[in-house]
Amino acid sequence: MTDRFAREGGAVQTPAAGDAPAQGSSPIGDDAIAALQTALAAEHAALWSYGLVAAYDTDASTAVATMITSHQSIRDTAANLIVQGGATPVGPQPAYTSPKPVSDVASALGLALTIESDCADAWRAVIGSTDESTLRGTALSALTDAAMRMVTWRKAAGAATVTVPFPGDPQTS
Amino acid sequence: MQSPHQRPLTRRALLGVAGIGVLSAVAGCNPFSSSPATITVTAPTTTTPPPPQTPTVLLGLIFTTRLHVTNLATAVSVDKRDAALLSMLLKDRKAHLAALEGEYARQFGTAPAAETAASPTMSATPATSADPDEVIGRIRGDASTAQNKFTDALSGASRFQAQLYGSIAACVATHRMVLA
Repeated sequence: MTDRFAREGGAVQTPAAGDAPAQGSSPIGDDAIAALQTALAAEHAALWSYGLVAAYDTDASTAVATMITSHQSIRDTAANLIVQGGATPVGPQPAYTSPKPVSDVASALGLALTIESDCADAWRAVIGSTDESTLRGTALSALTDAAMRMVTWRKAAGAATVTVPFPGDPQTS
Repeated sequence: MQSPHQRPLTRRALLGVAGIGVLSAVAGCNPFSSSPATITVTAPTTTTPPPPQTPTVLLGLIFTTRLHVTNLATAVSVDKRDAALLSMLLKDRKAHLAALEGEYARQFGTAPAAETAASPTMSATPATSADPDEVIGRIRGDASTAQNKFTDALSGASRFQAQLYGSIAACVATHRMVLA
């Protein structure tokens, strides 16, 4: 997706090839906090946006309800991790601007795909922001969930190709 | 090259700047800051670089992916019912293989070995059965194996590799989903 949903949070550093391997567990660092804030902001945006998706795609209300529950869960996890790291979690915005107007089922599906793509990008960045294996595992779980939701929405949109080789990689997803 | 407007640094000026730095370090304060000085005691940081990662993990992932690419290519040829779906998955796995081999070449400066030598059980077993359900079951098993291996590899990987492995693990999870 080229259109990124408006979101806030700290700048996330992309690790460079050749970074040192992980050396055991360590506290959450500044890089991870910034990446978690971005992921949390993406989750806030996703939760707000699914209300819009549900309004236009009433056939998908059950799927949307399941996805909202999943996003609420990972939002809370992200907020707790940020608090544990000694920072204040970013809050939700009163409203968000969608990259394209949502006026029918097709555009609602497009928005759903965009927000999941944003969440996937953000959680992949969390993986690359830390050497701590538990946090990497949490981020991988969130990335995988977002990737699977993207498949659901691509199927619903009738896309010929429903999987991507590198979910969460802005270069390829 | 020196600008005509620049004056050369004298040794006295240089020593003066160095002196400020030393005093600042001793006092724990920044001469350009108006905030009160605070002295923080921290554990000494090690400057020893971490040991270089052995190629074993990455090589194992490459061998596994090669095997799965072979199995998928065979499946595409024998399972006409699911050929379109399997071709989509094959394209993803080929992209994974290219990325992993590229990462190996970048890290170790050489192409990975051509032969699978990681495990005697990792030999290509072409899917000879044309029964679509059997074919799909085998490919789903490969996707499950790949998801486990890439998830396991995440913990000891560099940050860059962790992102790559994470994306691949998430991708093969979606393969399991579409094969279910």
